[in-house]
Amino acid sequence: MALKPSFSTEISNLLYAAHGSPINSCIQCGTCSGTCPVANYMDQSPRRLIGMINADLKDDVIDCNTYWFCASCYHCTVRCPADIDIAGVMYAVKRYSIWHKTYGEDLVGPQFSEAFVKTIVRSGRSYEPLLAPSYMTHFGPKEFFQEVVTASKMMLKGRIPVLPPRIKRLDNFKNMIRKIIPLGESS
Amino acid sequence: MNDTKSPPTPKEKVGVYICHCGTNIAKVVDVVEVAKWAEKNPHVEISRENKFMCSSLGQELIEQDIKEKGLTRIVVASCSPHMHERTFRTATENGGLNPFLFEMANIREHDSWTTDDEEAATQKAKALVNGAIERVVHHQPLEHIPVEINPNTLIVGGGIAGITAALELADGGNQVYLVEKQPSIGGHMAQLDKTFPTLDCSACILTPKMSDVGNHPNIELMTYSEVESVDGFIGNFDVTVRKKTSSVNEKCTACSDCEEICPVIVSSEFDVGMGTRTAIYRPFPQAIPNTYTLSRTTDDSQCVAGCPIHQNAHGYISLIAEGKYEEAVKLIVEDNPLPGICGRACAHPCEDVCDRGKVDEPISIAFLKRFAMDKVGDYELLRPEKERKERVGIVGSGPSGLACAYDLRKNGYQVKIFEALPAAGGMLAVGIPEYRLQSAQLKKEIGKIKDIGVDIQLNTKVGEDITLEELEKQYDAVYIATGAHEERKIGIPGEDLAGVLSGIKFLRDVRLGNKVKLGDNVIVVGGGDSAIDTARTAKRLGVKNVTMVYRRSRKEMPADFDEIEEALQEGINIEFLTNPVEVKGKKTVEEVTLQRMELGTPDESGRRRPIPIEGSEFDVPCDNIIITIGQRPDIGSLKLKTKDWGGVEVDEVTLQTSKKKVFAGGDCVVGPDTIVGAMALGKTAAESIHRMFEKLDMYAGREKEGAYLSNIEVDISGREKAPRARIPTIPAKERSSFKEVNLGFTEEAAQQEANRCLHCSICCDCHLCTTVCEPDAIDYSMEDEIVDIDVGNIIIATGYELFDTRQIPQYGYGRLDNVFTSLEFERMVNASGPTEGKIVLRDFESAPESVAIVHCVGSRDENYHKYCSQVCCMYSLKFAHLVHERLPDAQVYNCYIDMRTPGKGYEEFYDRLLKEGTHFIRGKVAEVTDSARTQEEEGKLIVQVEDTLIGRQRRVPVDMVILSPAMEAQPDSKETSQLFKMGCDFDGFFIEKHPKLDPIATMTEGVFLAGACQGPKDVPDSVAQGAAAASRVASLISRGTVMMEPIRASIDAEACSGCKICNTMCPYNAIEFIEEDGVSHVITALCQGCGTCVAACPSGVITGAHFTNDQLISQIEGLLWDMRELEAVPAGKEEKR
Repeated sequence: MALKPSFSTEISNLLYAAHGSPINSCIQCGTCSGTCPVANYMDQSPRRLIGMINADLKDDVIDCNTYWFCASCYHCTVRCPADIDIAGVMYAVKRYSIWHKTYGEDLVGPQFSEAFVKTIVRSGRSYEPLLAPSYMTHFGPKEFFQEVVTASKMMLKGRIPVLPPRIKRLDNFKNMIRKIIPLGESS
Repeated sequence: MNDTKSPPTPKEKVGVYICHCGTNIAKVVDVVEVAKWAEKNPHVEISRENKFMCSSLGQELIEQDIKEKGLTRIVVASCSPHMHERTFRTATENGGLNPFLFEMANIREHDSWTTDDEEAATQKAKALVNGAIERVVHHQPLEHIPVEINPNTLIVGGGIAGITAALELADGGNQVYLVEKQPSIGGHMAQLDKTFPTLDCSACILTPKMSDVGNHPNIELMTYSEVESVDGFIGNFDVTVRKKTSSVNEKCTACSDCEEICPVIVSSEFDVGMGTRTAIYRPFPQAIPNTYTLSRTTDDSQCVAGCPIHQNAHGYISLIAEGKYEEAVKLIVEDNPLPGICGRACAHPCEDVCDRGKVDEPISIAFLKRFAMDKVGDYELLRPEKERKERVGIVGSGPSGLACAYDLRKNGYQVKIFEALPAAGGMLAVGIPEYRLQSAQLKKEIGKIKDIGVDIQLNTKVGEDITLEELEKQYDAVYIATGAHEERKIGIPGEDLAGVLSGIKFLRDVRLGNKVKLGDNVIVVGGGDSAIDTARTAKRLGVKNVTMVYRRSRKEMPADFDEIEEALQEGINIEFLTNPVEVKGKKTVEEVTLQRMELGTPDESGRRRPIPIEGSEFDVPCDNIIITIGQRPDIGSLKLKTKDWGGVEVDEVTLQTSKKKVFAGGDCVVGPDTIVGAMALGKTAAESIHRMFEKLDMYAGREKEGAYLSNIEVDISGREKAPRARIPTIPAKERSSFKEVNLGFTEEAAQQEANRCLHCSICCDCHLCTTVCEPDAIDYSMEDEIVDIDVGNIIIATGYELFDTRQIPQYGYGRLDNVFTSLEFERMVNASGPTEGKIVLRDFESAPESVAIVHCVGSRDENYHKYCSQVCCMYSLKFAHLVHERLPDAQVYNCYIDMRTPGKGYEEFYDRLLKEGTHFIRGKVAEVTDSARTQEEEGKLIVQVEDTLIGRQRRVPVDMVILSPAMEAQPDSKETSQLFKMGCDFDGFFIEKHPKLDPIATMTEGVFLAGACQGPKDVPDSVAQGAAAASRVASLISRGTVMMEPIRASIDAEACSGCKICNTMCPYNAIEFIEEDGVSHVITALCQGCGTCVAACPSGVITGAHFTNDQLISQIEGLLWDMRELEAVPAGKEEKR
C-alpha cells in the first residue's frame, strides 16, 4: 500500500500541467523574491514559500498570505534560473487550500477566485457586477460609494455590460471545463 | 553472407569471467546465474565470477587459468572497454596468449547502470556474454603496428595555457609551432589587472613568459594565424595554417609613427571598447611579437564599393574627421577629376549603401567632399610619370569624356577632346542649372584637367565638322561619349504647338544665355531630377505659377528627396498622380487637359504602375508646357551599330563598339544616367584602351569595376544614434536668383559628420602610414600566406569567451551607462588601461561612491548556462578589494548566490574581504534599474535583490554596477572540434578522454587539451593543465614510437574486381590502385581502420582486421541466442514472448 504522499509531493503533483523543472530543483537564490512586485506585502517571500514546501511545513505554507498576494505577473517564472514555474506553484497552493478549505476567513483571494471561476463557468465570460461583492465587503463606506459611482459611470459609457455576457455554445465550453477542473456539482 | 562463415576448428577453449564491479554490476545483474549459464556454452571451458576482475587477483586468475586449463580464448564481462580493455589484454598476454584473442562484454554502462529491472538486466548480460563468446572463437592473433612520433608539436592558442605548454616543450628541446588568432599572444590573462588570491600583477607575471616565447629558438610563433586543415593521425599530423596578412613586414621596429598619423579611430578589442585604437595598431605595448598590424578586410567599405568610380570616400571621411584636409583632397583627386562638382551634384549612390544608415542615417558623403574641396581651395590633379606616344580622341566633354581623359592622361597618353557645344562640360555645362553648379566651379575644374595636358576643342561636332573615320585615322583609339541631349516626346495631341518646350533644350538655352520667353503659368511634365531643375529654373526666370505634373505619387518620384523639398519651399506646386492627355490651343498653348491616375501593380522597375482613372479629365489654362520625361542620345551621324532605342551597342565589359579601335560610354550607351555613372564608364573605357595598347587581356579581373555590394558586415550593436548633418541653404525668399542654394558645411559640422563613420572596413586605404614609415615596413600588397607544417602531436588551448551580458536585459548592460562587465573593470583598474587605473564612471571623470558586484551573470542559470563558471566568485572578491584599495570610502556590495572559494588561499581571501568591510548580500540580483522610488535612489542605479539571509527584498542604490559574466566556449568551438576530430559538449567545451582520470587527452590520439577550452578554469588550473599536456606530449616524443591498434583494412587481391570505388571513398587516401595487376591495395601505414571501404566494396572482398564478417555475424547470432527459438514459431505468434 502506498504511503500518504508528503505535502511537497502533493504540491508537485498539482504542478503536473505547469512547465519547467520540479520545485526541489530550487537553489534558493532569491531571484523570484527580488523580482516580485508585491513581495513586500507578503508575509513569506516566494523563495521561502518554496523552501517551506520542500520542507513539508504544510501548516505554515497554508497559513501565509504569499500565494493569495501573487499578482500572476509571471516575472519570477521568466527569470528563475532553475526554470521553476513559480507563479504555477502559487496556483497549485491556492487550489490546494481551496479544495481543503484551509484558507483564512478574512481573505479576499479565495472568495474572489471562487466567484471568478464560477461566473466564467456559468456564462463563459467574467462579469464585474457579480465579482464585486467578493471584495466590496472589505471596503469602508467611502470607498464603497466611490466604487459604485465609478461602476455606474462605466456602465453608462458601455465599458461594463448591464446584463451578464454569454458566449456561444456554452454547453460545449462547460463540458470542456468539467474535464479540466473537478468542480463538483456546485456549478 | 553466411557462406563466408567458417566453423572454428579446432575447438577453442574459452574462459569466461563475470565481474561484480563491487555492487555496480552485481546489484542488478545476477552474476552467479550468468556465470553458471555461460558454462553451458559448448565453447566454454571454464566460467567464473569475481568481485573485481580488474584487481591484480582477477588478472592473475586469468593468467593462471590460461596456463593450467589450457584456455585459448578469454571473455571478460565487466565495464566499458574504454576502462579496462587494455588491462585484460595484458593479462591475456601475460598468460601466454595473443592479446587479441580476448573479447570484452560491457555489462555495466550498457546494462546494470541503465536499469533497476534485475530480470531484464540478467537476461541482457547473458546475451552480451554469449555474443562475446561466439565472437571470440573467431578472433585471429594480431600484432600492434608501431608508429613513429614526429617530435614537433602544434599548439593552438597563445593564452597562458598555450604559452605554458609551449615553453615546457621547447625548454625540453622540442620544436613547437604556436598558432594564435590575435596579433599578439597573451590571451585573456594579458587583459587582467591583478590575479587572485595573491594579487600579483597579471602583466608582471605573464609578460616575461610571453617574451620567452617570442625569443625561444625552439618556438615558431605564428600570430594572426588560424589552422585551416588537419590531416593524419598521432605521430604524423599534416597541418595547414593560414597566416593572415598584417600588411606589415618584419622590418617593423614598432616605432609607433604609423599609429600617430592613422586617421581611422575604432574601438579597441583589447580594451573591450573602453578605449580606442587606430587601424594600424599594436594591441598593447608589451605585445609579442612586438610589431604592428594593419586591420584590413577582405572587401572595400560599402561607400567605396557602392561608388561606380570607387572614389575612396572612407579615406577622405576619415581624414576630414582628423582635420587632415590637404591629405583628403589629395586622396579625392586620385580617383576623381571633377571633385567639387561631384561634391555638389553627384547622386551619391554611396550614401544609399552606407552602413551608418543601419544605425540612424547615412553619412553625408558627397557634401563632405565638397567641404574638403572648398576648404582647401586649390589642388593639383595627378600628372603622368612618363609620357607615351599613343593618341586618344574623345568625342564629348561631359563627365564621361573628362573621366576617361583624366585616367588616360594619368597614364601618359596624349588626349584630345572634341566638343560640339560652345562650352565644355556636357550636361554639367548645359543640363545642371547654375544655382546647383556655378559655371565658375565648372570652369575651374575643367581648367585643372587642361592643366595636366588634356586638349579640348569646342564647337566641333563629330559627324558634321569632322567624320569619325577621320578621327580613327588620326588617333590610335577613340572614345565616344556624346551623351543624351534629345528630349523624348509624350505622344499626345497638340504636343507640336508653339509654347510646348523640351526641358533639356530649355535648360541648355538658359545656361548658354540664349533668350527664353515664358508666360505666367508654366506646367512642367515629369518627376526626375531634370524636371525639378526645369521647374526651379522657370521659377527663377520670374514665372508666377510653376506646376509640376507627375503621374505617380511622391514615394515613386525619382528626383532627389531634398531637392523636392527645396522646390516645394520655393513655391512650386506639384500635382501627383496626374498626367497630361491633350494640349489645346489655336497657335500657341492655351489649355492642357490633365487626367488623374491611381497606382496599380508594380512594374519591372519595382514601382507601382500608374493607371488612368476614367472620366477624371480636367482642363487647366497655361502658357507654356515644358516636357522633361527623359532624354535619348542623338548619334545618327556617327554611323555606329545601335540598339533599337538608339543607344550605341558596345561590349558590356570593355565598352568596345562594332569598330575595334572605337569605344563608347556614358549616356549615349546606357541612356540618361547620373554624373558618376557616366564617369564610371569613362574610367572603364580608359582601362580598356590602356589594356588594348599594352596588349593585355581585355576581360581578366574586371568584376569589381562599377558599383557593387561589399561583402563586409559591420557590428552596429551598441552604437549611439547621432543624426546626419543637414547642409545649410540660403533662405527660400532669396532664391529668385541663380545664386548657389547649398552653402556647404562649417568645419565643425563637417568634422562631426565625418566622425559618424563606422569604419566598416577599418583601414581606409589612405596610405598615410606608408608616407611616415621609415624602415618601409608597410606593404599594402602583402597577401595571406598558407603554411604547411608536420607535427606529431597537437595541444588545443583556444580558451574562452565572455558571456554577452546584453542577453540579460534586466541587468541593463548597454542601456544603463554605469553598468560594466568584469573585463571592462579589469581594463579600467589596470594602470596601463584607458583610465590609467582610476575607477571612474562612464563619464571617465567621477569616482563612484558605491559599487555593486553581481555574481552569476549567465552562469548557474537554466536560461543561459547551467554550469558554474568557477572563477567569478574569486574575481568578484578581487574587484571588491581593488575598490576598497583605490576608493577607501566607497561602499562595495557583493551579491552572490553561493560563495564558491575552493582553492589554496581562496577561502582566506574571502575572509580577508569580510574583514575589509565588503557588504555581502546572499541573493541573485533580480534587476538593475534607474527608476527611482525615493529621494535617496534619485540619480543612482538601484540593485533590486532579495537578501535571502534576512528574507527581505532590498533595493540598494549604487553608482556603479559590475557584472561578472559567465565564461563560455569560443563561438567557433564546434568548427574547431570538427577540424581536430574531437568532441565538443552542448556548451561548446571540448570533451576530455575521461572527466576524472584523463582531463588532458581527447578521444583522438595525439590531440590534447589545455586551459579553458575544456571547461571554465582560472589561471593556476590553466597553467597546470598546460604543463600536463606538455608532459603528455613529451612522454610520447621520448617514447619515439607508439603501438597502434592493428585494426586495418586489407583487400583480397584475388577477388578484387578493380572497380576503384574504395580508392575515392577512403578519407585517409590510404588505398592505391596497382595498374599492372588491376587491383586496389591498402597502404597499411595510412589506413585508420574506419571501415568505410569495407562497407563500400561491391564485391565484399575488403576485410577489416578484428572486425571480420565471421566475427561480427557470430557475435550478432550470439547476442540473439534467445531469439533463435522464435525462428521455429510460425509468423504472427511472436507476441507470446
